[in-house]
Amino acid sequence: MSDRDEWHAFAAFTPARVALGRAGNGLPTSRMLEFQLAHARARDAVQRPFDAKRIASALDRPGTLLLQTQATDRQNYLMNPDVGRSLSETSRASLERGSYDAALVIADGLSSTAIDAHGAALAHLILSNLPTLNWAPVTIASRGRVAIGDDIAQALGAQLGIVLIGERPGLSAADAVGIYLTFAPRPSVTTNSERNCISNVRPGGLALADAALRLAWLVTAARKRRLTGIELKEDALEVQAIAEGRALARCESTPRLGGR
Amino acid sequence: MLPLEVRLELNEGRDFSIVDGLLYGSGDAVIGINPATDNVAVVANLLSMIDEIRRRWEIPTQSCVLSHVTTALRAMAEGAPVDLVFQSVAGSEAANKSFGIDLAVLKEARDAALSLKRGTLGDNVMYFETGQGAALSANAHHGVDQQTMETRAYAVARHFTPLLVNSVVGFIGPEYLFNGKEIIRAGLEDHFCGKLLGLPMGVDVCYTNHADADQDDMDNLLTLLAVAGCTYVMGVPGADDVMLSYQSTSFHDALYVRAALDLRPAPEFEAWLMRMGIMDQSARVRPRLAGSEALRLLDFAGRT
Repeated sequence: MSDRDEWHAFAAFTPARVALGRAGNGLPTSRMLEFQLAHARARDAVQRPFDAKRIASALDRPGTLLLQTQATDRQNYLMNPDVGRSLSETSRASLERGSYDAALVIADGLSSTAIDAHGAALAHLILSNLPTLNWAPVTIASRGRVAIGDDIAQALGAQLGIVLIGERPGLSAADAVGIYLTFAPRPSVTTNSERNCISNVRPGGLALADAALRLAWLVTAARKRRLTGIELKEDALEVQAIAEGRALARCESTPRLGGR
Repeated sequence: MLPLEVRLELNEGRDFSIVDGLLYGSGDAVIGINPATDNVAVVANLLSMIDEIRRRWEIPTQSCVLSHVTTALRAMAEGAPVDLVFQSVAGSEAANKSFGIDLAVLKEARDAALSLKRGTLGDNVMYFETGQGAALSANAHHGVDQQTMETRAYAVARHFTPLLVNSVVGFIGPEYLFNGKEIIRAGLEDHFCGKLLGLPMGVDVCYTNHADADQDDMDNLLTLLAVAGCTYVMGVPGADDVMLSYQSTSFHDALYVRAALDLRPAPEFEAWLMRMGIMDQSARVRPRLAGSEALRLLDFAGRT
């Protein structure tokens, strides 16, 4: 019937699967096969083992620590979110408590593909955008969930937890990183509404450099207001930054208003 | 002839999904945008954008930007055209706290939306989403099973006389619903419990890529729900939500299930589809738009 829609030209302007055409009411066979291939790739991104050493070597930062959560294998990790939120006893014992402004944690999450591709580069941008912060040693956690950052930041004695984590892969992008910022994180007490999140960080989504700028801006605001979460909204920050004028200069080396 | 409505689901950005969906006959439940941020100005712009399309083409539907309720409150205070206030809700006070809400803020938002007087019929200005496992994932389930917690969320929803409520059934992941079979079971449970509580219950028939499920499972659940009288389902281009990274049901799926079970769009929306020349008199989406009003819509979208 109509294997090409009259608006097929739209497809070039959006990543969404628009103008797929129809065979009767169904998809043309070629479109269905494309979907199935994409699904298989996304499943692979979830299942593929994470190579933390490779990230550490790409990051090349002295003092970087490799950590394990309580998850024993990938299946155990996927089925039990709690085991990915706490450090193994050995890893916990390897952390020395200090007094830091922020702890940067890199975790595989649900896409080792994403962290493999962008973890080290994004970490570099974040660290160089906020050079005046007193950073705890960077940690790389295997089979970690977002809340692993709470455990690590507290164990290290850091005021802010920043977690770079592989987002659950989609059909169109299996390499998106999420950034989570949490002020004064407390393991098993901190709720998700107390975090700020920057999502879909990847070359085809929110560019790494833009994401790092937005984070720098949020970090500065979080430190000033001593909170993160739903009470710390980006629009409030914009208004505040513009109103105060000098706020941007004090934004710990953020050269311009981050944003999309 | 029973209706089966479709929420036309699209994401923020330069996105042609809205036209794609309308030309496939979707959008009668709501045209709903998932924003990428909770930035009030962005949300207000998105609302104005859909409102303009809806008015220009006189589409008998409503729109919603699925931001946090506190963002909607601020957008309304700044005069944004809010038809429906969206919020995810859960079945315990602690779980709702983890979403950053309580009953008082939902009431405040409902009152604010009613005060805009945008509706032409009824006083249903809320849109809620739920899903089994939400309370458990926030460790806010008090040892209670996830289906009971889910049903408690429907009680929260019912209190605010919503226009739409849907479970996003397979969104949360395999730790709560392991595979296609469990997602299908939960979808039917949610539909049943929602209907029992008298809600306008829809289901986002969906799964994530870390669950052991595929599109064939969704075809099965969609068909079962339509047989069971589900109020509305989702329509996402090609079933692929490119921003939230999960798979739902497509505009094609909606066409299939309406045709297979002799279900129709909402009557006023169906009349609009026929007027636009998108649908023919026997309620089939036409293979070509030649000579129809819809070509003007297409032309307009191509220029903006």
